[in-house]
Amino acid sequence: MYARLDSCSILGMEVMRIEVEVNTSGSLPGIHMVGLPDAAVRESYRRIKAAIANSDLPFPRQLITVNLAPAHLRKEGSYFDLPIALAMLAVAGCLDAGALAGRLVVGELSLNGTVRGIRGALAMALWARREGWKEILLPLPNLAEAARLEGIEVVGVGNLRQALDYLQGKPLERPLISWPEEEEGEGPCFCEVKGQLHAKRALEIAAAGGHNIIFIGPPGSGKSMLAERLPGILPPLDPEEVLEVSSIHSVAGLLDARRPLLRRPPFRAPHHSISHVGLVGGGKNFPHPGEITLSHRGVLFLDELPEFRRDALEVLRQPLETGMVTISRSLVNTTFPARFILVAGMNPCPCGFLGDSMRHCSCPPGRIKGYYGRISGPLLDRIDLQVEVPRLTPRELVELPRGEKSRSVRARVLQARERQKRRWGPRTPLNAHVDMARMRKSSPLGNEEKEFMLAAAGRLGLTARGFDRCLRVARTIADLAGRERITVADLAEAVQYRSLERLQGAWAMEGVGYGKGL
Amino acid sequence: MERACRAALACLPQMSPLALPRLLAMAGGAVGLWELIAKDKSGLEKVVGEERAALWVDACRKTDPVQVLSSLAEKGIRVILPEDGALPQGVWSIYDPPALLFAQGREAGSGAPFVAVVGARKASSYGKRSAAFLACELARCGVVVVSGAAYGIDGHAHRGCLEAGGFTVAVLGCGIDRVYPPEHGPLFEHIKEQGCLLSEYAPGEDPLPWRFPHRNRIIAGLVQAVVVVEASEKSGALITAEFALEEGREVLAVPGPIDSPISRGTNALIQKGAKLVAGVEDVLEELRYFQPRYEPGTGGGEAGAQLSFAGDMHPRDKVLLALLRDGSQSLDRLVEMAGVSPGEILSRLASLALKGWVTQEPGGKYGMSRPL
Repeated sequence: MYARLDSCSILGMEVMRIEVEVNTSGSLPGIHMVGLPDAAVRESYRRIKAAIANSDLPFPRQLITVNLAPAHLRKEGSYFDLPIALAMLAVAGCLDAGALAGRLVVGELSLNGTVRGIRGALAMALWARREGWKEILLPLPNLAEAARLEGIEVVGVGNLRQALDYLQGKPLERPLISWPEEEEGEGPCFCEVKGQLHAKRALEIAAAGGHNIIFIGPPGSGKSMLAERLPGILPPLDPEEVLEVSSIHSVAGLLDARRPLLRRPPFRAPHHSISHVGLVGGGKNFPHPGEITLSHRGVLFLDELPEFRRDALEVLRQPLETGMVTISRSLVNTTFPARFILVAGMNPCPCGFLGDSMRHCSCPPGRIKGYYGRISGPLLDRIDLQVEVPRLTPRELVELPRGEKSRSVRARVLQARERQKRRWGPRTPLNAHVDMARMRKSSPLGNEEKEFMLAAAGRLGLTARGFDRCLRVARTIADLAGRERITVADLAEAVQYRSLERLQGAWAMEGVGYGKGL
Repeated sequence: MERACRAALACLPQMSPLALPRLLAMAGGAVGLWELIAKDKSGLEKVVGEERAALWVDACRKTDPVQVLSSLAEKGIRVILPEDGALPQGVWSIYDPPALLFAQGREAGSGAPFVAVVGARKASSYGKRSAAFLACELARCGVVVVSGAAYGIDGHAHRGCLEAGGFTVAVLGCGIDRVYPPEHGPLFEHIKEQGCLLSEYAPGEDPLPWRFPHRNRIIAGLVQAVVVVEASEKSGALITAEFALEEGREVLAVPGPIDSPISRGTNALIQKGAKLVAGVEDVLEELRYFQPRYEPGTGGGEAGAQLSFAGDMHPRDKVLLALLRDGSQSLDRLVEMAGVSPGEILSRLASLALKGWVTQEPGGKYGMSRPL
């Protein structure tokens, strides 16, 4: 006897179609599982046997061969429990083989026959819809993720018996899925940060143009507080982005069953002890997304940037540039999306109090230099906005008025994004990522502006890349102001956001700072 | 021969500049000491330990003192002895005087008074511009500016002096051929052209932490007055001031804001009786029998009360400079006081920085980089 059905699996972020074939032959009972199964797949046999028995269903008492095709791909995970079980039941005669055609089935079984949730259900449903499948059978716990997809029938099954009944044509009781339609609150508001106008202005620019940003300030100056408020001033994700971002989190197994779709830009803040694999993704045979992919279309906050491992920071360079990361392992090559806004935080010196008005810094200059030296030039070049955040005195904390609300900042950000859309096209990158040649062509500098930039580059020792980054920031500043032309004032403000380079420079070679014309 | 032997003795491995004068006194001269060591009859193992004595005996037998002197000369290093009269005699009569000094660069003209301008490494823009300003004015008056070539105040004192075309002396805490801090390489070159480097340590010696407080006694010994520009309570500049007091030199201090940690040391000095420096005249007054080459009075004082540079400057820039003249400010304070948006203030500050008026300080503050 022979039966087959279609299932799928996930490799990186890609979904692969896997054909499950079961064949029985008349010799001593036993099982062969072929098609490069990994340990979790090989063990599925025991789960399936128990699940079938506990559902009061017959198990074929013959030599069973299970094949997972294509045979050359390694199969990972517990996606195939349910499809293999159903194919076996078909072989055992409980199910008409025709009922298995035209459907995708995935799911893990528990020993009592319940279908358990899996990772990546949303990604699979999206892929199935794209590939023209009419129906996908998912574990009930994953139904919430994919239930609202249009153009494909998404069926959630709670246990093996239910799946069998459904495939035999009996109607399935459909649970009510509550899907919160509205924004689930606003998140922390901008107005809670007092003072820090410089940092807030920089965040607004970062949100508008997609620029990366670093805050340099003593402990307690509010770096994390500022960073956490960036998602709140970003435009909400559009429906397509909601699905894209949610399916990434679905693959990572991070979706919350009660709030299955991420409607707001994600915010990730990994600890500085993270490995480079944890940060950019990877793994031995089956790459999984890292923090940079989980913060796709959102914010990645790296507090205490110099404390991160050097190798972890250096691998950030390529994704920061291209918006994606390619992981190459001996068996697979896979690409994860990673278009995020990097927000970094660091102290002004190892002890944290350099330049503070209340406490004295105890670091020798050599150590401060070493501290800045830990952030490589190429990485720094990719951080457009470098802002020093002073600590407020207790008095200022009490006396300063509350700031502007996130909502009104977001309104300006949205306008600036609209301008960019009109200029670069609807689904194209922001000012921070657009091709430099296009940037130069669409926003040429006047003579006065060119002269200013040359003078500034000379004085600040800007690299060619730093020069270009200033241009991008100036473009965003002009967009925020609703201007098409970049003026000297925009460029001048942009240049002011290179303060870390200046600090690094200050410790590398102190400027004369004393004019000749006394 | 005495000169060659002294130089060779100072270059012995593990020789301490503090021990050398004592050993010389014991042996009655460098030539005598050299011969004693070479013959292994010095009895040094009782004084400096067997290991070091053996090391020296070995080195002495392999070295020709005259050779040492000529190889130093090849590197452009001179050896200055007390009897040369090349430096103010005061430096040889301090407590624990050096037996000799290595020098590189030009020879100081005789007669010019030496003044030290020292202070914190982590200086504010106020400190840096004050140091540069005072050094520049002193140099114009014909004063030799002495400092320690460190980051911050020291470096800016040297630069201010060099800019006025003056003679500046950098006293190092390491071998004279070592560049420390390494970023000051170009500055060292400039000092060698227009002034000189001094060190009591043999060429090649490392910049060890305890050497810097020690060399401060030489700074104090060289000068008639020590001006401390900015110093926290534990600053090395206060050690220089201490030495200066012990040696009977004048100690002056530049006052700073009371809420700035790096002005606590200088303000405390003033409280204890150091003279307050409000302008270069205050320093010149302390230099007895000295006729300045040039009449000071352009910087500081009344001249700063009015913005003297009208003309082509943007009106907002004038407002900002007027605000910054009262001390460094954070962006938030500037926004509040000037009543302009953060974006606009940032762009004005950038253009002021390009013109050399404003610098950014650690802690997100902006300060003036030169006096009005």
